Amino acid sequence: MKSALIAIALLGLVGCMKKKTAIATGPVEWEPVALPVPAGYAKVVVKSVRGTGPDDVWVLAAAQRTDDRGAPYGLSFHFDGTTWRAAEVPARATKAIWPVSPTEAWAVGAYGTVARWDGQRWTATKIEGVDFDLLDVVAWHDDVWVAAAGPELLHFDGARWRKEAPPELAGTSVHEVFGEADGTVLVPRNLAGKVPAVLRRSPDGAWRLDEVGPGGVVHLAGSSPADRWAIGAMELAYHSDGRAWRATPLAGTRTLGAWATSPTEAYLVGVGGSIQRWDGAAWQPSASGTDADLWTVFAPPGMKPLVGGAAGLLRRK
Amino acid sequence: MGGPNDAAMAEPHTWWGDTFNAGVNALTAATGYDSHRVTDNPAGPADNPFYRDNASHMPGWGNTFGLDFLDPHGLPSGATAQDRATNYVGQDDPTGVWADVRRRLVDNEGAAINALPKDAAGNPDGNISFLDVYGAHVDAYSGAQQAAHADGRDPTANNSFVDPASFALAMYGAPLMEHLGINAGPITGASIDYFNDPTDSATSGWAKRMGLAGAEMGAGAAMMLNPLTAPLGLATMGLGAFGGVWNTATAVGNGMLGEWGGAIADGASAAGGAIASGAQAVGGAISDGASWVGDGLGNLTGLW
Repeated sequence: MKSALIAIALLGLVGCMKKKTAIATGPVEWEPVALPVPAGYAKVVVKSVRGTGPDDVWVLAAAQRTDDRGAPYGLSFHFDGTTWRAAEVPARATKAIWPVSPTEAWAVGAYGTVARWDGQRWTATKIEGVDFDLLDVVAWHDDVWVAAAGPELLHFDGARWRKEAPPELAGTSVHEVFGEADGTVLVPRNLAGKVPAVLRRSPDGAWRLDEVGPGGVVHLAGSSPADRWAIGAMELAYHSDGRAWRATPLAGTRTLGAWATSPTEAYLVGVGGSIQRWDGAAWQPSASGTDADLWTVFAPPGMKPLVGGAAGLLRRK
Repeated sequence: MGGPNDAAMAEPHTWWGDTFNAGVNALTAATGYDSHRVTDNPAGPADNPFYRDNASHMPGWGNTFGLDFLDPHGLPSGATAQDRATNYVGQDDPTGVWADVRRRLVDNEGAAINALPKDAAGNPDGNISFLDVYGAHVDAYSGAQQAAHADGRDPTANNSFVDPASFALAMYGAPLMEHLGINAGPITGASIDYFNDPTDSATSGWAKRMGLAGAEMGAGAAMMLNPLTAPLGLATMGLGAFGGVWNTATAVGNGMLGEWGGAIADGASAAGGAIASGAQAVGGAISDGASWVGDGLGNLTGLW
């Protein structure tokens, strides 16, 4: 009996150490979007939403086959401004997607898998010698950059894949990459004992390190070089107007995705259905109506923002 | 698929093995985990072939014994254990810590293989050691967790890697299941998800494994009652005791005591007293209350 009480006390101790989650209260500001899930699929989890504009939006998702109790399959959904259409994504390339044009998009996923959309179908390949997960991607035509939990980026130049390892990334683990319209590549740089920073590759190929501030940089977003965000996991987000980084407090929920629409509009999503909206002065909670984790947000000018996660796809009312 | 050892290392499927694994999958689903293959999708190439492609350089028994009846794949057992582990574990990975661990394992063990003596054609010749593989795992967990701390993705990921005795049991024992027609993947993945999740805190990982150690000791004590099973019981008790001591030491080293602060200080103090009196009490409670769990968990820990 005594030992049973000890075990219960220990379990309680473990329970007390769960990470905190804060859910916004107030009127629900988001509504479900009905995706055309093909017959035979269920439990759709949206992993990544990206696009080149309101008439070229991609949703990358993992979904369970109802006739197969195995691992989830990949699905993608494309919105042309009027209609959503579904297409299977081969081989679990379900970590991240980056559209280049209506006839070119890139998706990445497990164990070196890269899938390319040619306007008609997805074709998957495995990067030779890469036996680990690909976590994020940005792309321009014949210019693709992939983060893969290592001290480098993987780069496709239209002919072959190579590792590009600027010395600033030595000893780090890169989980996210972000791209700007002019071809600039941004990467978080976090290293014990160093000020968290953003490593920036300009289109001419030069790398430059911008120190941000304490707290770590997990996600990157931006609408222009004068509107960049370096976002921490829970407590702080830094905004740059092109001259200096300025810290802004977050709500304390773990962020899993970010998007910046303009200097006065940006979004963060995260665990427990959390959504935070930047109004130009502060981050405001926005009630999603779900407590399921939200992984991704896409909010370009001219369309209602989309967020996605375990609850499927949601659109701001 | 299509590597040099893919056919030899194909997962076995028998009615009894698949029935067993259906039970494992149902149990893990009921507890919020997923022990299916990470990449079942037949439409594409994606799984991790590293341990199959490099199987001949892994440690463990295989053709070494020259005993076909003990030899499901004809390749070192460490290859099978790790292939099943990497392709079945860590399905849900919101912070990327699992991805980081997998990456570091491939990098570390790939470096160890590259450091082997070269044959006439310049290819690695021989096998890396058990300690190479164990060290690669310890480093991978630590490195991935430090990276998650550095950027704040998962500041509470502190669970240390499992003790070497349990790891050795998995490395050398997992393929035996496959010889019996049971795909070792689901239970290997489940056991790691439960008992060696790198995203757990030091405290929660320690508590899970102390329960396991207690269950092993309880099961071993039960076996000691029968002279025929007494030697195995003694070994099982020894495994549990070793695991308990090792895991406590590594959990403390990974900051477990530092986690016991603030509002839970009083509770932690009581737990500390309990710890001082020995992990046996915790394990005893669990094994007393659910001896069937003890047997099941005893098997699970042996698979990783």
